[in-house]
Amino acid sequence: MIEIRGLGKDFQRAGESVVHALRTVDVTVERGEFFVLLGPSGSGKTTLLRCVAGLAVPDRGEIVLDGVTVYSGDKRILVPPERRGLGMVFQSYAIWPHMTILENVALPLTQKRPRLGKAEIRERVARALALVGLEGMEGRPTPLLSGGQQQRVALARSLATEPVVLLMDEPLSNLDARLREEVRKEIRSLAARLDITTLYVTHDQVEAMELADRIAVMHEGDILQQGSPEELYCRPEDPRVAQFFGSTNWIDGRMRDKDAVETAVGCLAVPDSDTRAIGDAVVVAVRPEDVELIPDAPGAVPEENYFRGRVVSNVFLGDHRVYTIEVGGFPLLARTLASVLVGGDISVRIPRERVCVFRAGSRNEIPSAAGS
Amino acid sequence: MYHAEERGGEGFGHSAGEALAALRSRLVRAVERLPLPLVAFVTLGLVVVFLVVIVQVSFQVQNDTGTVYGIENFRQLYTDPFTAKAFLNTAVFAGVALVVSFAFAIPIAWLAERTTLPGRGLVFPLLTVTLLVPSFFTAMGWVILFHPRIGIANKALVQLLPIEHSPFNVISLVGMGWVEGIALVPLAFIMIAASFRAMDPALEESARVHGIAFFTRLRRITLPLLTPGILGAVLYVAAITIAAFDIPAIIGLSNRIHTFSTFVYTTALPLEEVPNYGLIGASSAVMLLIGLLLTWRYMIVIGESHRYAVVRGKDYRANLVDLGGWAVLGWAIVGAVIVFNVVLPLLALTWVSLIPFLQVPSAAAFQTLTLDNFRAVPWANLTVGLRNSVILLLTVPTLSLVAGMAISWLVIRSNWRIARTLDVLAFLPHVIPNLIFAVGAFLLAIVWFPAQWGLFERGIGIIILVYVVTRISFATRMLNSGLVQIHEELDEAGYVAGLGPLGVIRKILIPLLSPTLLYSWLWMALLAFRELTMAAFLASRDNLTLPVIIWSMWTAGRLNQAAATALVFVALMTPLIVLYYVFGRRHIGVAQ
Repeated sequence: MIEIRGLGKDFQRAGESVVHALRTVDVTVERGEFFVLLGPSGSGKTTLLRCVAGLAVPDRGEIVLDGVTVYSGDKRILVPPERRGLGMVFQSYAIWPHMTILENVALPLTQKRPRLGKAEIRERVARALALVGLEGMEGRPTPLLSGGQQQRVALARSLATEPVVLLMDEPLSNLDARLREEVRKEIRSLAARLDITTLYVTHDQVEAMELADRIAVMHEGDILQQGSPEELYCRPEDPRVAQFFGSTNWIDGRMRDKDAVETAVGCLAVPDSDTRAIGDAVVVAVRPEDVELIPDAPGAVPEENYFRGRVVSNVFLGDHRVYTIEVGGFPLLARTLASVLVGGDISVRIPRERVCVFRAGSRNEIPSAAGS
Repeated sequence: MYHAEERGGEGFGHSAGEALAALRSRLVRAVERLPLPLVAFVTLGLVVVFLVVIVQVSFQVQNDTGTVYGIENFRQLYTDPFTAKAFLNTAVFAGVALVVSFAFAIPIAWLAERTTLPGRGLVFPLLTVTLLVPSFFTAMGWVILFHPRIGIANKALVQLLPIEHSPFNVISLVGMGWVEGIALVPLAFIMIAASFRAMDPALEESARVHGIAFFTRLRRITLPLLTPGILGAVLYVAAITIAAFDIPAIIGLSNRIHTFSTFVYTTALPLEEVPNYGLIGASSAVMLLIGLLLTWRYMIVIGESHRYAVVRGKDYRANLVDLGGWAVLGWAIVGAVIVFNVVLPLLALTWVSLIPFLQVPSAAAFQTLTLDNFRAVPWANLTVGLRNSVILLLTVPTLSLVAGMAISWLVIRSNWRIARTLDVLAFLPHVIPNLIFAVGAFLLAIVWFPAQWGLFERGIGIIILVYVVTRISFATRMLNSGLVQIHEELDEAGYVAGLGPLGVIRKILIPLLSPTLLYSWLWMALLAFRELTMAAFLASRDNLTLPVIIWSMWTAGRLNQAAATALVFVALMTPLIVLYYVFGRRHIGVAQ
């Protein structure tokens, strides 16, 4: 449905060096798929979305929407945004303040060729408004609408033409936290119900995981990894991807065997790998929720990745706690529901399949602002 | 988002159908996107052409073999004592005008922005409306009152006071400078008030908190911070003054006190000899150079960003100085400006229009009151003038806004590399005196086009063109600041909805800009209606406007008739001013 091949765009400002907004991006979004572009600000995700919309012009590569080439650097094709037949929800919603709700939603319909009849337009507007729960609000002027209502009008406007592709640029970032959660659920169910192909930009990984069929994590104009939320969370191919999804224990180490790493915590059994040689410096990532706390029971049988430590501190966060466990001098974060005594000794276990190993030094490339 | 980076051309070697479809879409796109650059280029092209023709003509010398190029004109300008005198006069005139206008404008700006002057909210609109009163009207009033021989105020003073000679002489460089200065107070005030508002009140407040007394604060903090703003205003007003035409034309021309503008006028349209176009070109080129130098200084002083400066109404204001009883003096200063500009001239002209000859009001004089002057007005002539003025009033603001929209859209909304250049060109008429453009158009019609085409006899078209060109700065400044305030995603949503650039402008930008458009339209309509300078330079039999008719009556010595006609003119203008005041109130003071 959306095929992006080798897309690149550079910005050059007078007197400054070239900034690669997009390096060489390849993305394929299947029909009906909900695809999220996730990344920190400046990662190129919005530029990519704007290239698809036609609001930004790439320097090279190709974009094909529903079989139609809308941009091709080689063939010198550029279809302007008004002829791409898209729906788009903007970050500011971009509700035209001089028009009523009806006029806002109807305007894209009036531009359709062949022309639609008046009755048909009214009917389609009503249908679109019903989809977003604004039945009967056609005549309302727009400046007085709340943020949530504006958001819905924007959604209705982008859906009214039944576009092949729906683009959304951080549509929830201007809503307060509770409303955001509510609208997120609605967007998810609407997209599933209409079976519409959606390309969605956000910097919020929770939003991405809840909404997406697939996610592409972007960083400095590159796609680091794309896949389902589960793949990205559990099997990050890049430390920056791991960093992006929640907090992580980063432990430096050295390959002792092809499935074991010597670290400050101890010798850690890790998934088998042929790509690293014994003796390589590596960094190991372990999610706090994967650190199991095992109350000391005399006579317990030592298992694989079983370490002893001491509970140093405890942060209560309502639905869970985060403990700092000192293991071999290393402060290991553990996330759990259980309650253990601060100051006491404890055992921890780290399941081998949950450990990710990356090339040493690669973590330093992560800008500190990238985590969320 | 304008697709300035769009790739053109079709790739060959792909399927013919694909190439054809791509070609078709390119054509459609080109047609849709053509009108904006076209309008912008034509308008700004005229700006350049008017200036180029002046420079070209300034180097043209007539000799036996025809036209050759040389610096003879400049040499003549330099050696001719008459010319030297005119330039010297201009310097004195402009100097006096600057001193007078700022001596009033700075205190008034302070009163309106930084004190508790009761009703200070009225100062801005009152002075803006004063700005609209034509300066030829004011000048006529002052001549009637303070002519050394026949001025009725002078005569009255001689009768009342133990003096033998007229105390005031407005028919002098200082007198002309005074009237010009008084007429420019509103403009200077608007610019300085803007600097007061742009100043962060916290800077003054911190001085206050640290125990610095009022006058020290004024001297050490407020004035130094305002210096760039005031200096900028001085340079801008100076550029206007040195080319001012209205007041020198009313007061000086018939009394042989020439400034630059009237010198060019008499050289261009001499009564006896053949006009010396080369000399007009050379003197205008010199003025252009002076104007550009002043502008260059102005740009440095103000900083480039000032061009977009919009006066923002800050929510929190500086601590206002409590005037107490001094408020009376404050209003006296503001009142003086209004009295000098509007009330005195209005009274003088009304009186003169109702009596058969100039005399001091007295019981005997009241016996002679008559409406004969109004009956003697050549109404048939006036009807033609009114028609022309109304045509200007309707077409000039409309065309200026169309052209301004095209330029501003390219400047603000496209990332076209040339956009910055367009913006600078559109700014030029703001700083180059209108007179120069009128001279450019005059020379263009005479020198570039064969006389038999009679571009001058073609009526009002050339006046419309020049007016539009000179208004393009104001239109683009207003529209630039308007467009900047419209979130670009509103446009983008329009593109995604299937509107092309023209559709976005029509359906989204114009409705959202409508308050700005209405205000700007009214302002430019009023200026077009009252404009004398350019219309006088480009006057021909068929395109006389009302101000030109009034002025020619005046120079012909028919003072009483001219006064009567001027009153009719101001009466016609009043409803428009009221309309402007009602619709424009919210905008008054923005980006003048």
